[in-house]
Amino acid sequence: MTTTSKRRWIPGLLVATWVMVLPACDDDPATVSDTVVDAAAPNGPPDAASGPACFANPATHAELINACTDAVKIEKNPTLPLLRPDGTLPPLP
Amino acid sequence: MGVLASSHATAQPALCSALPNPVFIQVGSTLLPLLRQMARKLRDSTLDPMTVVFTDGRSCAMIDAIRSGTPLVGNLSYAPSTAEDPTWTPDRPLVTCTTGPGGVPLQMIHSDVFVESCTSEPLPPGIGVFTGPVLPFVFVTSPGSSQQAITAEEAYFAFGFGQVGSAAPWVDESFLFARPNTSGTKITFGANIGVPANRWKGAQLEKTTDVVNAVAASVSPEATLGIVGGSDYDGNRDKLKALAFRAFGQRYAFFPDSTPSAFDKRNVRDGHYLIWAPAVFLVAGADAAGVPAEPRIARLRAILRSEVPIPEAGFEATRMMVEGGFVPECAMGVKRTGQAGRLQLNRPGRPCGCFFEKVTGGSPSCAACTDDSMCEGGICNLGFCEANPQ
Repeated sequence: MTTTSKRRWIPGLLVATWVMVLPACDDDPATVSDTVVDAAAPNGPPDAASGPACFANPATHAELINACTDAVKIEKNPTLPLLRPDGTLPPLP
Repeated sequence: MGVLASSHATAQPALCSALPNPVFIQVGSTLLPLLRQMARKLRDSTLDPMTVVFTDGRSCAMIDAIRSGTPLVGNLSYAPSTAEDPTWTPDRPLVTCTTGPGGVPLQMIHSDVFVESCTSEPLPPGIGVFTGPVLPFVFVTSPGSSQQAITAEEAYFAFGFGQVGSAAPWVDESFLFARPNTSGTKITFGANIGVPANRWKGAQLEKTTDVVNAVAASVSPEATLGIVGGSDYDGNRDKLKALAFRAFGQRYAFFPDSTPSAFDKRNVRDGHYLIWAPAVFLVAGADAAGVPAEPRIARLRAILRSEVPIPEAGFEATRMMVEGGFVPECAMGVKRTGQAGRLQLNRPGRPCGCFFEKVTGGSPSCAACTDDSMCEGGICNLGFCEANPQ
């Protein structure tokens, strides 16, 4: 496990893509929102801007953890002040 | 060496090696409830009775012990047979025996973590490894908290930085409840959030029950965060609130179960919930394939891997695992080969997902069966038609 979150987040596209992506995956009652979505927060789901909403026939790790499901899922996008601007994690103190 | 038993007798404890067909093992605390049940059944077995003589320990210390051939010395525990104590139940004290000054050979250990989490040294010849049922682990908070989920990033800042991590509301280190650095629970969480066990902030509580009690009694519910095994959470749902977890690279947070009130471990089984690890067993006297030469240890291996789900009438071993909060490998749709390792699809030789769902209160759509011919090309396992993995 590295301490660096591998994510490619494009802040400029974030607001628009967040709005587009969520309805594609959240049209079921099993999605609940933990907090008000802060679309400008830097630590949203990785690759949300480019990846599909969910994977119907998952095979790889990334697909398995983001596979389509009707299980309860919670959307959370917290504000973390120490997160780096590019969305990666700083080393432990 | 932990203390598990109080002697039934007031006289000197018996010699462990003098018990009927003894096997000597050491296990982590997460396996103890299951082992107590199985030990009684194995003692009473009419096919191959054995006395499972055991004690508890910490994962890495046990791995060191079996690698180095260190014998077990001191007082150990075993379950009485029905003939010895017909009223004994697994929640009652075990019986104590003594090894004598020379100790007894350590034949098998159970670890919550993979060997590589404890040492980079290769295993010496004759030490075999196998994995058993999966155990989930859960971030918990006080039932009074409004929080529903935690992301891996939040946990990284909360437990890795403490107060300065600013991962609100988990910023008061006096309300972050973890375990000692050698705890398999802590190592497993640490691997999933990127914080090595020796770098954690917060309180280090000796036992899981200490974490349960601290979280349940917290005077600051919103700031409270603890780590426990899934079976400990399931047994204390009235005192604890589970937090859904979003792993690195994941879009949403999920509970171990499909809903907060279910017990189906569906998200563990299909890969949506990432904080879990298989029980890892090391055996002495194993062949090159890791299979133990000692027949009774080999039988234990087969039972723990659900290769013999019902060893004999009245001993439903796989049901015991499921009811104990474990997920047998045969019910897992995913697998991993290292601590918090990347997931791969799992195709068990004899799947038992339908049985698992039935035991955990679900209503599987699988047909009931008594043999494979009833399953239209599928296989009949534990009373249900399952897809044929071939």
